[in-house]
Amino acid sequence: MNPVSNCMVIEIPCTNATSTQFQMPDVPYLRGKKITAIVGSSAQKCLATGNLNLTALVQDQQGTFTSVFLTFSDNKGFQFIQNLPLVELCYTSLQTVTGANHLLLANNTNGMVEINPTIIDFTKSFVYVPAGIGAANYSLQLTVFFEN
Amino acid sequence: MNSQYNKLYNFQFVAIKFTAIANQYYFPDIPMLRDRKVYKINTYFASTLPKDNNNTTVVGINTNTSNPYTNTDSNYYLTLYINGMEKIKSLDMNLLNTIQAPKNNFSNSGSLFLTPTTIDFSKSYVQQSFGTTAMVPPLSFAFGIYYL
Repeated sequence: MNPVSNCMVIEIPCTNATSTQFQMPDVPYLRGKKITAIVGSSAQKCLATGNLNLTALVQDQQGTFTSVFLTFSDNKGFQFIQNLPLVELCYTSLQTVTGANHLLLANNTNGMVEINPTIIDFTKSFVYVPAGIGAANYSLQLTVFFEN
Repeated sequence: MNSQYNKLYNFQFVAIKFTAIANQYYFPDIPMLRDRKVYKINTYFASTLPKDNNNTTVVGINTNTSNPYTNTDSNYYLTLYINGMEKIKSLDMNLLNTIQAPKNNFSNSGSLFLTPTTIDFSKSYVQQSFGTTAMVPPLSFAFGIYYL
């Protein structure tokens, strides 16, 4: 992983309880920027999001939000990441559930998922929750690392 | 492992949905991955990804024990058809399980890194060894396919 030079947090408001797909907002500051890593917030580290002060949307193995998938489109319209489970990005997650289980991420990148530097068109990227989030006023918080 | 391929270049989520118990469960045809070189594969079980992107329940593994190699539940084996032969033959899918949520903080070994190669998914399949807990379809096997 290269040293961090830039990062910013983006939030995807998921305010409709019955919707299953939530488009990402336009992020003018990230237009033309090559994204090098994305980290998702986990419930244990982020009870409320920073910008919108909403409850963080996380992948909860207890079934509240059974599975959350992310699709990112590059600046050529190609969905270079299609349905990536959010849990892949929540490297800080430590989930206490029934039976004192713990969710560990033991991938080969020491946690943070490093992306081959790619310009992302956030307006064509979205969050997909197959079962619906079931409650209103959640927000998915992503920390985006990028090159100058 | 090869650090060059720790980066995420392209990602495709793939699910093998089945509605009846069988000996082999074949991958669907994945047009997106034809002629693309796959460099990493991982799998998800229900403990970390309860539902696939079609809201089908993902198969579980080792939910009642801390040691996946001495348990009595099912185990799954992956065969990949590469260059006209089954080059990856009956690989224990525990070895592809990046993220685990078993008891006692056990974590598995991580993703399967491949020399970047084209896989004929329509001839690749999963086999199951039956444990004491019978599976009740519809269920699905969930994979993350990383490709160049």
